[in-house]
Amino acid sequence: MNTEQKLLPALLTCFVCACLFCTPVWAGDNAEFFLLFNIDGLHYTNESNNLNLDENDLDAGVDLFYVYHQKNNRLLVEYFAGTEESELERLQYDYQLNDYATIKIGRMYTPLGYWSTRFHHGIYFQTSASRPQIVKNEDAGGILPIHITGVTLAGSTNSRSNGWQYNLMLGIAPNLSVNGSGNIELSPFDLLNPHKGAQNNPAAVFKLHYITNDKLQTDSGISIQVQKTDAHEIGLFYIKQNIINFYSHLDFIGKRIIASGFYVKSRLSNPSGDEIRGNFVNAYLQYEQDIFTHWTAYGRVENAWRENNDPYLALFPGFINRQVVTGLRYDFTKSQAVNLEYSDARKVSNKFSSLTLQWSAIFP
Amino acid sequence: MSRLKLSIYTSILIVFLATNSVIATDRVKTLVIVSNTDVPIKKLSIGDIRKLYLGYPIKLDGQEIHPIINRSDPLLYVVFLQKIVFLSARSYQRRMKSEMFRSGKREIPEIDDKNELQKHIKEIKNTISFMWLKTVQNKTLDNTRKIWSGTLSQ
Repeated sequence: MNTEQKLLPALLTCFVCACLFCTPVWAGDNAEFFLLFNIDGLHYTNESNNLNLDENDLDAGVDLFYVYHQKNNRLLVEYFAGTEESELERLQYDYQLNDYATIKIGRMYTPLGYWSTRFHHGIYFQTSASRPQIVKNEDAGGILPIHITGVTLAGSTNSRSNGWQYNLMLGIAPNLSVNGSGNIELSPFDLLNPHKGAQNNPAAVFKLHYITNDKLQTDSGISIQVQKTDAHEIGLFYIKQNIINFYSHLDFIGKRIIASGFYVKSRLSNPSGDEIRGNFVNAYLQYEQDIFTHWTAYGRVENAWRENNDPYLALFPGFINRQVVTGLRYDFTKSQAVNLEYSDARKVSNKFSSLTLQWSAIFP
Repeated sequence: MSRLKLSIYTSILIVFLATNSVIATDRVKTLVIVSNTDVPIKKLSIGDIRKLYLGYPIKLDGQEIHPIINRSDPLLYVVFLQKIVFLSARSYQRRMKSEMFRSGKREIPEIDDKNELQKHIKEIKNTISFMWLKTVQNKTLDNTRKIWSGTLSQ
């Protein structure tokens, strides 16, 4: 990378941050802006050969969120800056065509499943300190594409709150590369540094879900993602994947359940033209219960099936196959919370447990 | 027991019951939704009101209804959220911010001055808000609908 290529992302990053900080002044009532903070203070893990997990040190991050409305137009920006990474997470322009359809252009989260589109990088909004392994962000050891740059058509079958909703997304998928630590990771298309990485290949996602909003709120759906991932940098030609997801989110008064299952079928093609095929299933179930006014207890179980023979998962030795997570969240002010979370996890090669103390907040 | 003693005890009991009844009456609160006369609020169900305040669009006779959050009285705000939206104030605020973060949806506007709220409802078409019935009786808004009534523990 030459000097110009190195400078461009930094300058654009500064420009985006400056714009975000100044916008509430000139945008007035049409704009909203807030910051989300998180610090993972005490992170202890007894794993000796740590590949993808966080080190035993401080992890801090701030997520800047900005949205601007003008009649049927909407501009949405999310930028995350942390000790491990800094990246423009979302830059999307939405145009509402009518009550039933909105077109979105830019870099956004794939609508696959529930977690990514619900919480993004907003750690404060998710009850648990950690995300399920299968929906981890690409640069945190995630194995499925989370960020896609392209076009989405989204909407509902009626303009009321109950009913069917859909998303149809076409875009470019992340490619596989080797990071600074020598591990394989997915690299999404970077709008601030478009020259970075190899060629990006197409991806298509379709999601159909049903929402109810009576006393019991439910959101259940199915998503299908088809993609081709460039893998030249890791010695393969490409990887074709078909992913199917089922999820259900139930929101009772004082308790919530999130359940999600993934079926991932992969075809790895090497330069000689040979193909290796495999598939695996992964699922998680999270239960959250408000125990006192400001306290929430939660637990999550994650499991993978047929993971040992899957050639795609073999590329990610740091992937956690089974995990049990328990935690307690305390919202000590209306905009700040602390989490204490314990997890017992198993990879292909070893077992380990970890303890995390996390502070998260929203400002203003 | 002498007749005099019986009369005194009976009087005390009656006074006690009467006082208690006055206190209880004072604790009974009634929540209403208010709007300008252009909104047929009788057609709005409690479920519709809840959905409106969760940020979902609701149309009446083809017109989109715009809710406003009344923040002029902290107790009113808390009671409305608990009895109608079924969420605590903290959960509601977190949920609305989360929804905006997810989809970019606008937040529901809040007004913390009674007079300004009343003026806003009268001037802006298709807006609704919530108040105590007692508050509305002193105002000129007459398009109201009772949505909850009950006793609040002190």
